[in-house]
Amino acid sequence: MQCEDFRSQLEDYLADSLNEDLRGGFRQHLRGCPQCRQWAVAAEPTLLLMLASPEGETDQVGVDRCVASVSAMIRQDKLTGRIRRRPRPWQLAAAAAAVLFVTVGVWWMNEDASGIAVHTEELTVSEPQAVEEGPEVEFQMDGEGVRIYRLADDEETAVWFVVNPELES
Amino acid sequence: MRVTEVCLVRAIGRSRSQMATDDRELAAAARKGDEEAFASLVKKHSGGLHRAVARIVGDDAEGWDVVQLAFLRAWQRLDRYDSRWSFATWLYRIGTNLAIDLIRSRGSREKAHQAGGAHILRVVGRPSTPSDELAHGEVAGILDQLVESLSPQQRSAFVLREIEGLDSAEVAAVLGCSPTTVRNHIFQARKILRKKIEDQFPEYLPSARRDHNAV
Repeated sequence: MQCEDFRSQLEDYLADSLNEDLRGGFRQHLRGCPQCRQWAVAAEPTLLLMLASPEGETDQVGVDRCVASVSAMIRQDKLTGRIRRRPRPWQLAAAAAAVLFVTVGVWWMNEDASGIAVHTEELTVSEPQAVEEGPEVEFQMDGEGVRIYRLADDEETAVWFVVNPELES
Repeated sequence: MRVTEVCLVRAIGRSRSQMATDDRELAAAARKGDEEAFASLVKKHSGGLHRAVARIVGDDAEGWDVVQLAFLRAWQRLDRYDSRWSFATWLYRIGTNLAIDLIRSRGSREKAHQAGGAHILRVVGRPSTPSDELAHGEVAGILDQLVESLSPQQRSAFVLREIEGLDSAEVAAVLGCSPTTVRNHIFQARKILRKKIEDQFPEYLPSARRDHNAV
């Protein structure tokens, strides 16, 4: 880029209206031509700050250290990821608690159901309360040897006891 | 611009697109667990990223910390990398966000330090040479002090566009805003920095500018 072109493009550069190709050429000239740079910085002091970053220069020592550090961190990250995949103690405890809860629950439900069945049988097997008070004779067929006692007769249960009257006497 | 210069700029453009394609291939390999491919990306981009990030945070050593963390994040999030973006843009976005987070986390500590009376630490001495012979380290020192007066977005936009020379579209993609917003940030940043340079570092300005300011 010629100095004349550079100086004519300063306003467009500051307005950010140059296309990227021209902008690149302007910046290159600004770095490379001390006279134009001095002229430009006099017009716009902030252009001085472009020198803070030398184009193409790299801190190679820093880069090498960075590569080594990042590689080490990646390996550490992979190792940490593998460790995390193993179940943590609290996860194992929670799983055990869930299994125990389900097992106890199933056992309790089974015990509860069998208890009802026994209770029902007891009702039929146990001696009726009416025996102490004397069962009510529901029906008797004289000469036929049949006497039917009503031992219990409510909404849920009805029990009759059939006997031979001769056995009772 | 002469024809030969235009051709040179276009040739550079073609090689940049080739580089972007190479980066996508390396990123695809790294996504499958290829550490060597990722190390190649680190070697390729860490220098440029450090130059940008160090100027945003205002410190070279912290800049390297941010760069390393940015690459680690990039490794962990490779499954989220969209190959429609260039890898460099995606990486710069991660690095810039980390740098901005660092600036913000320092913000409250800096306010406490400055509460007793602001003074500018002049680590850069009076120049013995005219401004056209300044070393980049000296100018970097000036910039590190001056960017403290910018907001994180202004700082990032100015460094990426004006110092590192990224395309307007790239800067907008890195910062997650529109090119117009980037332009506004830079305009505001120039206004603030111009005043700061004239007030605090007049000796670095050409005599023509100093005479103009004196008037």
